[in-house]
Amino acid sequence: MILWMLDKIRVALTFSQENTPLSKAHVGFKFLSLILFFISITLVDNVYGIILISTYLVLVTLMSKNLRILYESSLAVIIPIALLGFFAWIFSPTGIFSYETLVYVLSLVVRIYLLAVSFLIIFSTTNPSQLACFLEKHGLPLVFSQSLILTWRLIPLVLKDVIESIMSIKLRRFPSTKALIPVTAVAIERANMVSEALYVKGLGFKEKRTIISSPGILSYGLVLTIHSLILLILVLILL
Amino acid sequence: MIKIENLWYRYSSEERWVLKNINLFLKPGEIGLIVGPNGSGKTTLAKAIAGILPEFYSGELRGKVIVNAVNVLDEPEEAFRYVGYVGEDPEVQLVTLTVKDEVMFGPSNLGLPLKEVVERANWALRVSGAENLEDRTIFELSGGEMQKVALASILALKPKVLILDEPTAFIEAPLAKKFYERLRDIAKKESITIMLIEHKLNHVINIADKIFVLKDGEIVFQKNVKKLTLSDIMNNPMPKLVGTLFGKVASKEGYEAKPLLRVVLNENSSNIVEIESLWYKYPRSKNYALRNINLKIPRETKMGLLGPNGSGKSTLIKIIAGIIKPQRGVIRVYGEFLKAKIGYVPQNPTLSFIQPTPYKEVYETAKRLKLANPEYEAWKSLKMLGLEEYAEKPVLHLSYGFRRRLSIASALVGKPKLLLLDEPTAYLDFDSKVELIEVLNTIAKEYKTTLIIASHDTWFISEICDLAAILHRGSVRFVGEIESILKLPEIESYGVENPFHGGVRS
Repeated sequence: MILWMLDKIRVALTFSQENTPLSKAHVGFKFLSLILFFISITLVDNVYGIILISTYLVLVTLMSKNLRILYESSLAVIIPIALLGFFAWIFSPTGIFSYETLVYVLSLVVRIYLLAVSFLIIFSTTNPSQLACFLEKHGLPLVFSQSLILTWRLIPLVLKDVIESIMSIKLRRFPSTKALIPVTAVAIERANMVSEALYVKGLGFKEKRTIISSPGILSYGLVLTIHSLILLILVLILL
Repeated sequence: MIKIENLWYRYSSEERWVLKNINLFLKPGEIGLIVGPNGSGKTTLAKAIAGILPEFYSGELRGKVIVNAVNVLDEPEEAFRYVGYVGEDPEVQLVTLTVKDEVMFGPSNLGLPLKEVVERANWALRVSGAENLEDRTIFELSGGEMQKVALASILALKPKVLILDEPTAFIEAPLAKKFYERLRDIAKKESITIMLIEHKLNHVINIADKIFVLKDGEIVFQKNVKKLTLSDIMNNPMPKLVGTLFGKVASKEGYEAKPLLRVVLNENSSNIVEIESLWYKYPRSKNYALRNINLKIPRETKMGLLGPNGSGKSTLIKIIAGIIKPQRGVIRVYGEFLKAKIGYVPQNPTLSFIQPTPYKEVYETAKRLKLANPEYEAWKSLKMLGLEEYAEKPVLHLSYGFRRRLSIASALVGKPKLLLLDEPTAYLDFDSKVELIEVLNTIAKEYKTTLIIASHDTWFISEICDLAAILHRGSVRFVGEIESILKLPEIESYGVENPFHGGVRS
């Protein structure tokens, strides 16, 4: 099950280079909309509110023009969210079989699902170079923007290593937990090699780099931001 | 221009000098070829020239490395302006998510105008033969394609000196030949000094100006390639290694084409692997990596999977090993008992190491597999792969070539019924390849192990395998006996080199 889950997370975090309104949307507004959505989701406390905010996920999916991304992202989060729901249910102070517990657990699970899946869809359809260029243009030091790109690049790589290492070790009848050793060793070596690669490619030798990516199409970004802003206002009214 | 004077280096953790009194000179536009066995100090020398050694590694460094009138040992930060370095593992050298971003990354760090960044990127992609990859993401690339993109990303910096550490380790032979011809043009037209570290010498020797043989950190032989004579080769400290320069010498040692036979596959024989209508697509990829694969691999045979980069060889090996699951199709690996008797040697051998030293790695595996005399079996495996003297060395201090040997030793110790090897010759020198051929042939015979080997090294496959399959764009194009496969007139059009009908210097 761990291997299955790791593989699904790896797939969900893999960058998808599609030519869709979501991937073309202005990167700044895209993430602004995600922040507004996050605020809405933390404030919402009733069923109507949850139905309302779920329209954000519908919009994101429609703009991604790809139901498969929704499906893959859902698979990646299903086990952790199910576990969270289970523990929230059995440790509920209002009792296991009460109506309050049922509403509380369902509300928690749905909210986290909406947030996680929306985040994964936006994350996997955004080119981090685009975001890094946008942030650098607005004054973020390149050490931070580059860290962002590298994290984005290396997460699926590390997950792939974990899966390959577990399989290779299992064939020699060692327990899967032993995979932590080679994966850590490879990660440390990789970190060293990546820093060498960044060095030979001249990162940090000039304070100002050339901005190579445009931030994206403003109108698509505005659609997302306005939608999440309206949601936030409605949630505040409903409170 | 590179001028190295009396270069010595040792890591802070070691007494032994890794580089000993290196003296070397290359003019602008010249191509230098560094050869030597695994662990001879080739990569360390490359890193010294690129200015990486003084910047990233603690140790004692003496001498001078002068590139464009700058001693990069004193001013390593200046090296970046003149020296481009493409290391052994292409995957980690790609630091963005798309090919386009990757190639523009270096020039953008120089703060150049956007127009020039784009022009440089397009030029570098064209020169390195990666134009068709421009719209791809890094996750979709095969090992060979990554290598091309890694090279393009460095070429875009327009360096004066270019150091390439095994640049064709994952590139199929016909493309490697073109690649080296392109490098020759680049060196000539752009006056770039190129230093190549390479084990496969048959193509590279045609473009190199000077050859340097490195052994135990010393240059034991150096000469202008055009002035090389047969006696140079035979009197060299490593005649077999340098012998690969000439087809004639290789033939004398018995590496000649086998007689031809007809393609005959016994459909009734009992198979160890059966694959039916198998399809596989990588996540977020538009194209299928494997398309409708149908393959039966009989027990106790040696099957080679040949094909160009991105043809699906490694993907197929991983599916047979159970690492990835196909979306469609059936795969049967025969006998439940075989589950514990499958050996797998991954492309990145480090991923299989769980012990600090080679001896412990193999010994613990032998113990886990409940072998009767694990100590004896461990030493036997280590000896087979020529690892006895490295048995107590930390595994992470081993070169890539030795790590691959260790990975094979661990997989072999259990006398597996099925052994899967993914590009086993990458980063191996010629002598190691010959040793590996002997080891695999012995194992297959003694333990009745079925071998499935994915490689673009046709010569290696032809020396081991009875059967081969050519994969091209995710489909199996031909299956049959290796001799018949090598006789196919269209073999090279599928990106597979015929090592006995061209490619070797006459």
